[in-house]
Amino acid sequence: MKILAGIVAVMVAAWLQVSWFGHVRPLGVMPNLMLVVIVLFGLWSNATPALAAALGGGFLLDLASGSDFGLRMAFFSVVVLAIIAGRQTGLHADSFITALLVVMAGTVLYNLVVLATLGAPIQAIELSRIGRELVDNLVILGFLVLVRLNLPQRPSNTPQLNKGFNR
Amino acid sequence: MRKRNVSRRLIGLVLVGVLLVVGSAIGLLGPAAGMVSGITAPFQAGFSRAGNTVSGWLNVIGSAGQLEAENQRLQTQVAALQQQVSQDTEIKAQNAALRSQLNLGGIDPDRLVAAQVVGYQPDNFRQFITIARGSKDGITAGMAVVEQGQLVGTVQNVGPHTAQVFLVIDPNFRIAALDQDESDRPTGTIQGQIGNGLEMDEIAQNETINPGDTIVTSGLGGAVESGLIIGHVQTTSKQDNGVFQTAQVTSAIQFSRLQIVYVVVRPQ
Repeated sequence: MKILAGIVAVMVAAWLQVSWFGHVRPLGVMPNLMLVVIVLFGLWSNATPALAAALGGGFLLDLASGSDFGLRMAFFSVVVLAIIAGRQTGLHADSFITALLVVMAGTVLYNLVVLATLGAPIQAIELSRIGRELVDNLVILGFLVLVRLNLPQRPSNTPQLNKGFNR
Repeated sequence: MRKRNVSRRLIGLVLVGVLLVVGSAIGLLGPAAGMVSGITAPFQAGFSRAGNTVSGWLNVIGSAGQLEAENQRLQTQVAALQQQVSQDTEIKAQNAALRSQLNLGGIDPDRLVAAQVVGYQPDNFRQFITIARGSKDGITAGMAVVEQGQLVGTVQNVGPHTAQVFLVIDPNFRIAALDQDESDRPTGTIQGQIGNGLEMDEIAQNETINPGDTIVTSGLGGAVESGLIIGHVQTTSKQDNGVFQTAQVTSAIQFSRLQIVYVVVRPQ
């Protein structure tokens, strides 16, 4: 059941990103919904489903993308592996501040990677776009965290996950 | 023991990712990608339509304060346009007659394949769209895609049911163009810019190019036919010691609001 919910969440995020947010561009830019979802998978779930979500979500976006096949799969996988490594060294995964910082870092890094593939210099217009996407992503993060807080609470599995696996 | 199993699973997943990337690079994923896009295209189309509707509502709400002034301005415009329409009808008839005699310009409606936009590039710096037409509809790579008579981009990747269109505003997009309104028809290269702008580069210094001029495809290279409108010159810039001058070009197309575009198929 949890696996099915995870698959549905990733697929819905991919569809929303390439179709819905293609038209509705808050602040004039497309938010990176998938990045937020993948970060939350990394922070809130076990290592294996989180990495599977990163690969699956990245793969769906790569299919929809006209360029750089594999970039999103690779980037999301690195993000999740970094989060898993962080948790093994004591990162407090349930903290909103942690999620916020990871999403901020992920948004900036992702855009820098895309700009690097273009070979484009970073100027005011690029920084403005990254800034607006950052705001969008943080609003989405806040929304998803609120949704989670209103779901029936289950005991946190952070202590086990901090050791890198679930008992 | 369990930790080792988790590590194996993680390594296995990473290997799957690497295999997918390698498979794509050597073209093994084409059929799989086609199948997935065929299944998902109808869902994407639904999301796309809903997104466009909501986007329209948000625009209306956002501009409510300006509506009264705009209404008055539009009423004046309507009166002027009504006069213009009657003149245009005459010009249109003459134009059609001349075209049929000269066999130049204009795209035969039979060569236009309407396609619904079902997806956008999932980031902010590259510019592609996915359309719900593919090789089964006669679409091939390199075909021009237009909307409102203006160039939107060119078809790049084609699946059986969907195709990806490389938009003119992508920073890596390049196409040969010319200024239609000047007598010496200066040529150059149009390239996309981050921020949805267009720049016409490689215009010789001694050529004349003015704001408001219409820029069209020149047909050089043969991939896209000549005469498709790309946009209008906004500003020009020339440097004394430069080899070329450049012009900023604006397209009338709202690239984030595309719903239906037309693929210009090649004549049989």
